[in-house]
Amino acid sequence: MQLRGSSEAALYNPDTILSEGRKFWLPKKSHMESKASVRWTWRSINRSHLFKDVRSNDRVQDGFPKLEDLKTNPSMHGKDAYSAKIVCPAKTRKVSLRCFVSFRHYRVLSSDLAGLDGSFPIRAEYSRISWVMESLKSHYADIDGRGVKDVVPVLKTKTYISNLKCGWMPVHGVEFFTMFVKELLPKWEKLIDEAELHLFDVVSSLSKPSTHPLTITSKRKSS
Amino acid sequence: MCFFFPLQRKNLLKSGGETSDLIKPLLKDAQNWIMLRKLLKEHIQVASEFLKLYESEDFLREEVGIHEYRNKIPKRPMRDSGLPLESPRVVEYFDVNTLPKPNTWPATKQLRKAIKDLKNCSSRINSLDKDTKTMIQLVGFVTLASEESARD
Repeated sequence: MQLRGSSEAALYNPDTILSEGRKFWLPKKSHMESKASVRWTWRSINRSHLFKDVRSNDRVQDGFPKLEDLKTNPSMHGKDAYSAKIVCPAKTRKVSLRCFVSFRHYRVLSSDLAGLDGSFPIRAEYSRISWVMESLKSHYADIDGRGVKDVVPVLKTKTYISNLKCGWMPVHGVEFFTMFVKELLPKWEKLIDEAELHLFDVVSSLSKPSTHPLTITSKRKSS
Repeated sequence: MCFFFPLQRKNLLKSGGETSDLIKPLLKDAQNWIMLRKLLKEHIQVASEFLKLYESEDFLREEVGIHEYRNKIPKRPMRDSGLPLESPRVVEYFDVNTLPKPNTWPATKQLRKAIKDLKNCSSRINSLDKDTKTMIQLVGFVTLASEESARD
């Protein structure tokens, strides 16, 4: 699948800021509004345009690139390359692979905003992170004094975008995702703690003769 | 966690009317717990899928593997012309059993533990669901009983 819309394309700009709020600027029915999604997209990119806005005619594709997509333009190595009068230096096709992670979660509303019906008041929010892997010139780079190259991956994560509380700089995308999942846990635990308290309040009010949901709400407010 | 004790059941039965108003929020709560349980399941599933993906997708596996076992991967003299990908993929070293399998790498273990911690929340949501259903049954029973007594 190819994405061409300008609004979608802007999502693949590494400078896109991810917001946790509901009003995150997104096209309708975006995967970012789903319950939980991990989306991989990649594009071939001109090195000099790496940190500039994605232009509307850039081809952004879902999934992962193939090895062939990272290789130097094949025409430069074929017969044409030798027959050409001016031999151009082979250029690397820079590839940028981007991962978007978006998980919906719920936050308990404060007692002031609680509904009057006495049910457990919650609101949907989104946690999102994104990281960009970029192809390096070669996976044997950094030549040492003996002419031996150090080992580096073909694609290396260069950009991390998140609102995570943890300020630790991850060493790779998998660690970044692990940090994200770890931060989901306290959100769930807090929600369940509050839900248990809510049920406890309901049960307590049931044990009194003047049972009414409004009394439950006012009780929570006063506490 | 169970919220119900015989005394509270007795008090609820004594309380009589006005209980029908309680059923609506309880039903809404019950729906919320079901929705949250599904959401948590989705979180766990998507995170587990990511774990599987990283173990199988070369680009991801390679980045993590090189970071964790950089010193164990043999360096090669430069024979190629410096063009990218002329040399064999680094990821090949992981495939010939010279390095531990990806599912034993520290990064994998950490992610697996984070997912396991999330799974532990499921049982707590199940308890919420169970308790709320018991309350709905109880309140429903009381409402029915009070209606019948009013009819008599």
